[in-house]
Amino acid sequence: MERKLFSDNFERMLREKADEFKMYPSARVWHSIYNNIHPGRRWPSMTMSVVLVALLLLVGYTNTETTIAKKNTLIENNIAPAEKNAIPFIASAINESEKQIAFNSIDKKVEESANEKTALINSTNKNENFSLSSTELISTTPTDNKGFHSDKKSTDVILIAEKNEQLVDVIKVKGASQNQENKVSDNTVAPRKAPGKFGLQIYASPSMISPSFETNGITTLNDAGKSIGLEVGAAMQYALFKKIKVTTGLQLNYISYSTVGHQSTEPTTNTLIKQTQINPMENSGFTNTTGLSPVNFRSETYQVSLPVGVELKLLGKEELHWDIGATIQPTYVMGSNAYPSISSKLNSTSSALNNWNLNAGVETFITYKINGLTWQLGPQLRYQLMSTYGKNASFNENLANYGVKLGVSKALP
Amino acid sequence: MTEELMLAGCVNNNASSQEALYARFSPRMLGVCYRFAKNREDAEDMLQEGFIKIFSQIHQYRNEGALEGWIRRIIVHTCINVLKKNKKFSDCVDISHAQGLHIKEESVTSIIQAKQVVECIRLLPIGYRTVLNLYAIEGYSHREIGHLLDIEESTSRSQYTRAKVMLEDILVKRKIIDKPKEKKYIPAIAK
Repeated sequence: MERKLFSDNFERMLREKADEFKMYPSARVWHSIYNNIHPGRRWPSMTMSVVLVALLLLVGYTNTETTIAKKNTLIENNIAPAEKNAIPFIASAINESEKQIAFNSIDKKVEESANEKTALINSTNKNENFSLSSTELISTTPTDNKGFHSDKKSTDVILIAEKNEQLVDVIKVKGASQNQENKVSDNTVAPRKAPGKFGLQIYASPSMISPSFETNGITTLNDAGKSIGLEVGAAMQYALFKKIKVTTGLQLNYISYSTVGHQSTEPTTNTLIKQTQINPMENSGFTNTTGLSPVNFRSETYQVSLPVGVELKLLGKEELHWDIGATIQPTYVMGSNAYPSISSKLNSTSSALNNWNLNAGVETFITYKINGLTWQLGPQLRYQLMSTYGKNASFNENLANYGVKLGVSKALP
Repeated sequence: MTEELMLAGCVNNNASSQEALYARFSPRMLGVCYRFAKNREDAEDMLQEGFIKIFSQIHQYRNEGALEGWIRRIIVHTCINVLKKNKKFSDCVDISHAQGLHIKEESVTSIIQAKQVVECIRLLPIGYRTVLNLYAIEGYSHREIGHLLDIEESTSRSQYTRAKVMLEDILVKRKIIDKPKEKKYIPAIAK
C-alpha cells in the first residue's frame, strides 16, 4: 500500500516535472517547417541570399580602399614621433646649389650611418620657387615604444624637405639597405602590395542547349536542335588555400531552344499549352504526339542564379595554370515562354512551370595572368537537376548547357 | 490571437497563424521530443516532422478535447515512429536485452528540478525510457504501448517496472527525491 502510494505520487511528480519542462527550438526548425508547408514562398531565403552576395561584393570593394588606407597609416605609424611632427614633405626639384647641398647633406648623413648607403636624387627639374630648408633621414621601419628603429638594416632613406610654397617633382631615393626604390609622390608613400585573398570576376558564356525529356507514358517531344544560351555573371572569389578558391555571385541565364510539335484539330491530353509568366495557360493548338504537319516551338527562359562553387588549381605556375571548378546554382525562373503538355492535373490557373530550380555546373579552364588581370577560358557544362515543368506537366524536361566560358578577374588588395 | 482564430488561420494555411501556433506549443513539445530523443538535434528533427504533420492534418482536429492534447499525441507518435526506424531501438525494447543495460553516468548539472528530472529520465536505457515516457507521463495504457511499440503488453509492464526502479534509484542518488520507504513523496528541493 505504501509502495502504491509512493508509486502514484512518483508518477504524478514525473508528470508534473515533465510538463513543466520546456525547451526553445532553434530558428532553423521553424524555417524548415515553413519551407515545407509553403514550398512556393521561399522569397525570404532568396532575398537573404541576394543581400548576402551584395554585402560580400560591397565588402570586397570597400576592402580595397581600407587596405590602402591601413597601409598608409601603418607606414605613417612606423615613422618615429619626432619625425612625424616635421610633417614629412618630399623635396623636389631645387636649383643646382641647393641640390648640391642636399646631396652633401644626405651623403654626409648616410655616410655617418652604419650601412654606408647612397641616396640619390633623381630629379633634374629645376625650380627656383623652392628651397630646401631642411633635410633629414627618416625610417619606414617599425619602431618600438620609445621611437627607436627595431632593425637598422632595413632603413629606407628619403629626403625630407619642409614645404616652402609648392612642390613640383618627386625625389626618388634609394633604399639604404634593400636597393629598393620607394616611389614617393607628394607626401603619399606607395603601399607595398600584398597578394589579396579576394577577387572580383565577371564572366560570360555562350552555350548550346540540349533538352532531355522523360515522359510519363506519353510520347516525348523531340529536340529540334536549334538552341542557344547565354550566361553572364559576376562573382566574388576568396582564396581559401593556395590552390583552392571558393566563389559566389549573381548569374543571369538566357536559354532558348526548339522542340517539335504537331498541329492538331482538337484538344487532347497531349495538347501543348503555351506557358508564360503572365498567362499560365494558353492552348497552342498543337500536340506533342503525331498529328498534322510538324511545327517547331521555341521555348525561352530567363533565370537568375546564385552560384556557390569551388575552384581547384591543378597544374601550372602563378601566371599560367590549369584549373577545374564546380558550382551548385539555386535558380529562380524570372520569365519564360514554354510549351509543356497539358495534363488532367493542370487547371486553368495553375502554373505548369517550376519557378525554382537547381543547377549544377562543372568547368575546366586555363588561367592566364597579365597586367594585373586574370583571364580564364575553358569549357563548361551546366545541368538542370530538376524538371523545367512542375508535377502538373505530362513530362519532365532537364536542360543541359554546353558552353565556353570566358572570364576576367582582378585580385582585390 | 485566440485559439479559435489561430486554428481557423491554420486550416486556411495562413502563415502567421501557423507561426503563432508553433510559437505557443513548440517549447513544450520540444521538451516532449527531448525525453524520447538521443540528443537535442534529434529532438528538433522530431519536432519539425511532428509540426509538419500537425499543419497538414489540422483540418482533422474536431475541437474534441484540448488542442494541446491533440498536438501532443501527434508529436509523441512522430517520436515513436522516428525511434522505430532505428533498429537498435527495436532491440532495446525487448526485455531480455534491456536487463543487461547499464545507466550512463552523465552529468546532470541543471539546478532546475524539472530539467533535473527530465535529464534523469534521459539517463535510462532507451527502451525503459520510452515505456516510462509513454506510461507515466503521456498516460498511455500498457496495451496501447504494446500496440505502438510492437511488443507484448506484459513486456511493457515489465519494462515500466524496471524503468521506474532504475529511475527512482537515480533520483534518490541525486537527492532529487527521498527514499521510497516514505509514505508520501516529497521533493528534496521543496523541503
